[in-house]
Amino acid sequence: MTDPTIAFGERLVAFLPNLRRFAISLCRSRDVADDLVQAACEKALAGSDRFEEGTRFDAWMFRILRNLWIDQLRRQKTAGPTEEIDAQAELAVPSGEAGSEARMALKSVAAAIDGLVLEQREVLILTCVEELSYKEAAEVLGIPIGTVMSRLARARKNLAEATGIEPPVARSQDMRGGTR
Amino acid sequence: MSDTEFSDEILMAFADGELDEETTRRVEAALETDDELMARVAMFMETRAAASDALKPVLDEPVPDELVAKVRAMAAAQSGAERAADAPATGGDNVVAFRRPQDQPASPRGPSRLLMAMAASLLVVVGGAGGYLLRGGGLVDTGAMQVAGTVGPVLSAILNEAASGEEVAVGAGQGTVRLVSAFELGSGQLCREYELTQPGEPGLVSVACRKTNVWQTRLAVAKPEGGDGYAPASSLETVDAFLTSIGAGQPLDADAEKKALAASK
Repeated sequence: MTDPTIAFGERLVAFLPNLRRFAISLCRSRDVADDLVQAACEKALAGSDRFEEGTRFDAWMFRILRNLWIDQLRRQKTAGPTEEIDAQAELAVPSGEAGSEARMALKSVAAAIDGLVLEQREVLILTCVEELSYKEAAEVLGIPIGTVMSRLARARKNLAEATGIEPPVARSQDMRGGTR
Repeated sequence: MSDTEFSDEILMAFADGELDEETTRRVEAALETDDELMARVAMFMETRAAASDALKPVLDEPVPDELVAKVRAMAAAQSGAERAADAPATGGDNVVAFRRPQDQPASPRGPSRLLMAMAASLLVVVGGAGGYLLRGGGLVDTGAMQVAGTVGPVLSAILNEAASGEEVAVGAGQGTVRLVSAFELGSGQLCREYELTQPGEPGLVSVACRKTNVWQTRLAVAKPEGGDGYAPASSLETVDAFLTSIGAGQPLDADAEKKALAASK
């Protein structure tokens, strides 16, 4: 017979890559992220009976992890943002096959996401990367759906601007040369 | 209808498949005639794909063994603690539930909405193996081969003259155009599907339609390059779905194609 807590632990282990990715994008540092992931798992295990089967496990875990991170930020407020600067671009793709333009482009997207403020970054990751719905993201973040949408729209406009995905207003003349 | 009628949030929800049906229909109707609106929607589609692709490699990083070991150890410790506290209460029917598949189904956000959105006139390019390759405002200007918006003169001449099945070299080493088919829309407008290969660029599958003797690109999709593990929805499927959505007829046979190409329209 499988022990439920052990099984829950295995479920957590299987989810670690995603959890870690979310944590890295929040903290912008792999070391800090791994500590955060561990703390979130500890909390999840202690409260595993509060997880409702049939609801999204990922959303539940993201919420635990994110709340821990926010608490940590509050506590650190006085300590100063020393590690934030160095940690920039941590998300950037490791340069396996440098030289490929597509990869370079992806790198800059990762860097641009890193450059977003936390409230835009987290909503972008949850919806566009982890594929939560607006409603699920709203529950993770504890904010109304309307706020999710306005932050997300701003995040994506900023991302488009930073990576050169052309904003509509800046379309070239060629684009208007149609015959419609 | 004017762009300004739709807020960024509405267009974003449309791109994400989160918009109610009524508003979705209104956006779709507006997209049919409004390229600027399409570009705004395309920006949201692109940023989603770009973000998702950019952070994908992080998932493939090995999780540190230490972290995995700690989580297992914590679970074991917790399990032991629970058993000590209330042994009879644990186990039993919970177990089945915990063994549900790990993979949660993705949100119901299929490609169909996306393709509907693409059905307006547009220049969305879905990335191939490397992920997202193109810019919403339009494909990069590729000189004489210019694909975005109004098709450039060199390529236009090829679209006007070359028969489907032919492969035409462009300039000196600038690439090749392979004509796939010619077909008409319900409106009688002539369109062509072709593939463009240029040195150092991802291959493109493109659909252009002719209106008053000018070829306009309706779709350009990067061809997947094999071997990179992650391939988004097949570009050819996208093209097929697009053709269906714009009401493309069957490919014209050789004679009909010749006639249609010669006809000035």
